[in-house]
Amino acid sequence: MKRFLIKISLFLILFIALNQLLGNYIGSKRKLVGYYPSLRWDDFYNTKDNTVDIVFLGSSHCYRSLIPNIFDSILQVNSFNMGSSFQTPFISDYVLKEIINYQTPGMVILELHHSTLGGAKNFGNASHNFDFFSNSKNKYELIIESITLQELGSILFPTYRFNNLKSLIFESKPLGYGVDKNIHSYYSHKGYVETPTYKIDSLVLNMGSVINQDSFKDFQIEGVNSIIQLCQENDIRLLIVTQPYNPEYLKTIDNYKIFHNFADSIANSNHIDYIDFNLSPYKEKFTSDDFYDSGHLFKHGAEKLSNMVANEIKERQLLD
Amino acid sequence: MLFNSVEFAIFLPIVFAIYWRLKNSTKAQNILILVASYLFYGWWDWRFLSLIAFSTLIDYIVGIQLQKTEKRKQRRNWLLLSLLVNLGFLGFFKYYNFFADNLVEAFTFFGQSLSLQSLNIILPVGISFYTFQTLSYSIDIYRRKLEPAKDLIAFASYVSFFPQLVAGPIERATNLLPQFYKKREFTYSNASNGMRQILWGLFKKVVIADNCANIVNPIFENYQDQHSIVLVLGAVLFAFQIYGDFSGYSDIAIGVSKLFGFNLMTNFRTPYFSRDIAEFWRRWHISLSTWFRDYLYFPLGGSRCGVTRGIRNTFIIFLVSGFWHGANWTFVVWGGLNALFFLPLFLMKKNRKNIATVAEGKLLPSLSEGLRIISTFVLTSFAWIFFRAENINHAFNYIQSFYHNLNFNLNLPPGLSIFLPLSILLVVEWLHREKEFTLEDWNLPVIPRWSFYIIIGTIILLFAPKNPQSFIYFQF
Repeated sequence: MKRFLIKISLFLILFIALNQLLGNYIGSKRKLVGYYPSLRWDDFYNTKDNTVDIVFLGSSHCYRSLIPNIFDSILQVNSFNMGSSFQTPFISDYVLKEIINYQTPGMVILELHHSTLGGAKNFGNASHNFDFFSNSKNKYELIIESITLQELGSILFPTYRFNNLKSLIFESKPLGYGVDKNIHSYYSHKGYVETPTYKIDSLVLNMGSVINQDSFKDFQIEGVNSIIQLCQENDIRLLIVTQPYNPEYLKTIDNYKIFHNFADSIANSNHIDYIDFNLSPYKEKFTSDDFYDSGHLFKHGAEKLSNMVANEIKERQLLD
Repeated sequence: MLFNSVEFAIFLPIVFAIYWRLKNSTKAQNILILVASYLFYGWWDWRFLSLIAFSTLIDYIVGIQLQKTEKRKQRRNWLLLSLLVNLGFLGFFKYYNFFADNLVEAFTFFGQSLSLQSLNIILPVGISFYTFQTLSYSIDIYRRKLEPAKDLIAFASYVSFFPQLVAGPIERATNLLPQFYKKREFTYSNASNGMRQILWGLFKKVVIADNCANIVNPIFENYQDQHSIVLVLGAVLFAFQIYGDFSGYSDIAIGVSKLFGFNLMTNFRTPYFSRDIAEFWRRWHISLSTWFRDYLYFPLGGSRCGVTRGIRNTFIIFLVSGFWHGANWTFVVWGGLNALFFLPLFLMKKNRKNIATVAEGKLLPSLSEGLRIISTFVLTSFAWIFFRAENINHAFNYIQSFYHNLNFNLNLPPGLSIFLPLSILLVVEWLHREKEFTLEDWNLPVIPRWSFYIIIGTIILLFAPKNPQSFIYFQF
């Protein structure tokens, strides 16, 4: 029995170690197919330490809507968009902790959406970030918090996790950005993903969301609170932003005010500025043509929003 | 709980560790197996545990009564009770709707009306397997080939033994039950053989079967739009899918049993290297073929009762075997086709011609052997079309499309990287075809051996689908 267990253990250790090497090697090929998080974190780590002034955090509504170059030009700063797909406040908290190991931003813009406040812990969404974190307690805490039993195999055996990329094992050159062919998007610069305007045959909207405060998850609210505390401790100005929804979509949402009031109460109680682009006078500035779906902006819509946010920061003197 | 799931990867080492901690008490080990088996089965649907428990209790009582009673009529009645309960459950859950629907159709055909409601019945996983296992127990006691179990725990563990509970091998009480009475010894060679068999079983299931399924399913679903070469490819790959799926399950089941000191019967012996259909059926799903042989074919007279009855018996065993797989005419036609393929060999008394393994002691088969292997594979693949089809029309339309859609457009479906693992499967199984199972007692030096295991393990991870796929035979 002893001999059997020793041999099995040795084999498993060797097998897992080799699979970590091979799996992570395959995972590193994601950038060849324009995988945004990989390109974004590469960009981030290649940025000189302590040179970033503004950091954007949030979901795809953030990284597809807030254009760093516009902020840089209007505010004379160096900004960086660190949003990622369905990056909930719970994940943003860990992302910010990673960021401040390298940068000392003066401002964080946190994009808040009703769906992310109600979002579950999700391994896939968290992995868009922890895959690229440096080895630290922060990284492993996020993994442990996000993982379920089903995903244990993905962590032990990254070869399995990245097996959809096995055809790339022997590739070394980028296969071209914009692999997300349906929405024609591509990684632009400093975390921003651009979606050039194109003609939409039929707009698909996620109709009929019902907002209920009970659906906001405690751990997501704790995430927001933790970000607030982290910003206070590091002397960072925090701005909360809710980006515009497609007006056609906004019409179908019941009780949008519940979300707005909730976000507003968090901001008020912590003396934080909050801008909701789904209320007047902002919402009138956007039409359905600015969006390619329920809430994601085309490039021209993103330019409009970025100009508005940057000018609000300027007018409110939030960077002073 | 699927063998190819994270849950099982956690369940197995825990049960293994506790089991061997209890090595001084066979009774405690049996209790653990029973609890683990019920947990394993209940993971799907705990409600059906009551069926297994009831079957177990009935057969346990029947077994004891059969031994107590000497009167022939009473003994027959006890056996009848076991048959009624076991086949009753099977008949109700698996075949009720089939018979109800067909009766209604038959009445309608003759201009009569019959009102029989189809029921929304969930088929308990593995019911055909454990029913046949418990039946073998009662019949063997009736035939006085086996002593009844005195220990209810041992008997219940035998009925529900988790490695083979839901998809076999269908064990005979004469082989497996005595193993529950005696002390199990852990041996290094048995355990390492078990691990090798599990690894190979996972390769066959996860790499071969699941990836073939990804190609085969769209071909069968949209056969009208496929050209001939793709349709042939669909049939060939389904042959590998069903083999990988079922023999992979059997390998894992047998390998897991070895880890617990049990030896289950071999269920597959490289069937696609058979030189004729008779040999194929001696190598494919052996536990079911031999079950029908012993409990149906021989009682009917087998082949030693004249040509006419021999032909009748051949058809009965193949048709019943087909029907065992599912309540659908497709399985009956599949069985009938195999009977037709078998018949010429039977009539020419050549059905036992190829008993020894092909090209024994040689590296390669002769040209004649190679051609016979290929022709047998073509016949079985053709029959598998009926097995895979949703209904008879689907199967016939699929076959008709072979020539309706005849062209040589080589626009092949994606996913054909599966041919690399398929080549590995064929080469490794060919090299090990004379063994009880592939990789048995593999005595290569440690570096090439471990390298092989690592390569196979890595291929499994590279080809594994993101959502573990169920085993085809669970539905039977």
